[in-house]
Amino acid sequence: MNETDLHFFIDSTINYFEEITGEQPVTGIPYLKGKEPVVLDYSGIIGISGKRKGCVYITTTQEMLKNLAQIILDNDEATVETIKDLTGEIANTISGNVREAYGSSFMISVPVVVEGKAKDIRLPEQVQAFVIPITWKDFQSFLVVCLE
Amino acid sequence: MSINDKNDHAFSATNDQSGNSSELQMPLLQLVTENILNNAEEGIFFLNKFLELNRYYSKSIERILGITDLEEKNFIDILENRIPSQIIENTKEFLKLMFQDDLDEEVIKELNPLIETEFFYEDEWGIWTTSKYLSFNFRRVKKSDSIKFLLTTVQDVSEKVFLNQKLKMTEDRTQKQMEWLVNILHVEPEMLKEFFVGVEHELIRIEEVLKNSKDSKNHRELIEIIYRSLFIIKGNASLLDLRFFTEKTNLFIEKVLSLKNHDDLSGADFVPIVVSLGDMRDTLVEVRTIFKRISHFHIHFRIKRNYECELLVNSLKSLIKNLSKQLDKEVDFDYKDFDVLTIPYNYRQMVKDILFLLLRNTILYGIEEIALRKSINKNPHAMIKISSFVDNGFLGLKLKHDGRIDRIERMIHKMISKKNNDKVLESSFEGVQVTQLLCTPDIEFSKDNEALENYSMDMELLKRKLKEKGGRLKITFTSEDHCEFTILLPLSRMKSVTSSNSQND
Repeated sequence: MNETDLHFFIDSTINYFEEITGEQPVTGIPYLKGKEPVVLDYSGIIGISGKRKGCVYITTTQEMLKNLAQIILDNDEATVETIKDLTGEIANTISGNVREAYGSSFMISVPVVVEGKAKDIRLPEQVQAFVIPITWKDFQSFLVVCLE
Repeated sequence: MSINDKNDHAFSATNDQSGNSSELQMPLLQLVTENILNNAEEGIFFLNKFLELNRYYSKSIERILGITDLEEKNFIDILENRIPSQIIENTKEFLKLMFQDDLDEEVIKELNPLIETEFFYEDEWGIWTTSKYLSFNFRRVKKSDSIKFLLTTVQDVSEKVFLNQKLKMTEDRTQKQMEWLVNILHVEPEMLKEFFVGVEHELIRIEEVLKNSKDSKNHRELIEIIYRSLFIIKGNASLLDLRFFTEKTNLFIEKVLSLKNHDDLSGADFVPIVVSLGDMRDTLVEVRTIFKRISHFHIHFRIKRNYECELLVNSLKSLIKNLSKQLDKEVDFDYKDFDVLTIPYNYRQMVKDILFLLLRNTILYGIEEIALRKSINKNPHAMIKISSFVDNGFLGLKLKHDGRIDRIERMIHKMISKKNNDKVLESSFEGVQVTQLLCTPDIEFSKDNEALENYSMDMELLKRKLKEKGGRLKITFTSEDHCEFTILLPLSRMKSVTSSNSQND
């Protein structure tokens, strides 16, 4: 995992929020993921295989997704399904950017949406995972990148 | 054999070459075929020109591909989501060519993209967590010079590929590990262990500070903490002459320092820091693994205590000689009152660290260049004297030198004048506070302050080491005469430890 990779994932995520909501989120200080779980209410997971293997996920709170739904869909009372779709969409956008940048020698999975605070998201063993806190409108989310 | 569909018809026709007699042999042929397909280790199947599998395929192919009920499944669909799309496209092209009668089979086979191809398997979440390396071999099955099928055999070559990968990885790492090994062999196991603990401690500190920075607006403070920890790691690595670790830490420090000029730092600016941190952690794990492997050699070849003492003095001499030469200084080293045998085994690393640190700082900041000493009518050869003593339950160490210490004084004045900004009066600083001041780094990140920073960092390192063991530091100096550092380390704390280690001596 190098700096360029990590910057790329951060930029993809930041751009998504900025383009969709017109408001740029704040990137927090990245840190190494330890044993403790980094999971909020909803998580969108993308698997990466091929020349490089790993996993990327974004995990966020229900409040943030409801707020996002309000802006994108003009929907004040977003259902659980809408929220899950939105999580998938965020992950899918990141995945799309990754696909574009990494080319056809990489395999990018369809996003998997996990609802609820799972114990943790399983990541490849013996590969460093980086956590990037992202704050949008005071709502906290985490982007977790684990790529060999 | 019941042959109804288009595939089966063509398949049976290939065996129908001897008229009625072959029909009589059909039940036997069917039995043999079934046995082959049920028991073959290799995956075997037939592909028609639509790239569909016919009903005759070996049981093992289901196990190899992890898919059941393969009859009439499209081969390309099977590949989807298991191998990269680029290889799938190449496979389509290749199979198209394999079905062209006018092209030479042996030539086309050279283009087979499915040789030792990594197949990925999804877990319950749809994420690829496992993989296998499979090799596909395609052979044309013809009837009347027309290609009817491709007989495909599949082998799971994972074991071979993984072994090769491991071998290659080992080869790639061997040189680096050999360098590391050579670099750590000269260090005593106890010292290395202590070093590892120290590095681990500082890395955890950096990790924690990054993790808990969340809403920290004061990025400069963050950089300062990281810098301090790295400086400690670098200091410890230098003391043990672990060059690769020193170099790695230097690279990390450079990245930290590169952030110093940024006025408006964002979280993303810390990406190089966290990546370097990950790299450093990996290195520590790797070096610890090497250490574990060689530790039994260390124990087996452990040197005698007298020789260890000699080694300590020699390494101090060597430090003085090399550093003095570099800085165009001359030093006479007096160690006749330094009795290494009075130092308990578990204090030896600590004593070595302290003396290395003090000697380095003395030569760097205290001892004048030869020309300067001559110009002020001093002996061109400076004097550094170390001594040890045991007094009132304490192990004492003294380092005295006759270098000019006004540079240190200037540093102190500079520090005091900085503190004055915070309404602290110069006159209020007394001995203990001066020591305290010297041991409190205040990173300014400017060239002018570099010496001051480094000195303070070293002194802070010394202070922390002493604090861990319940030790004390006293500095006595006069501008024109000498400077003396006195270190006191409690012996009582070490009794139980030393007795348990005495058998090693």
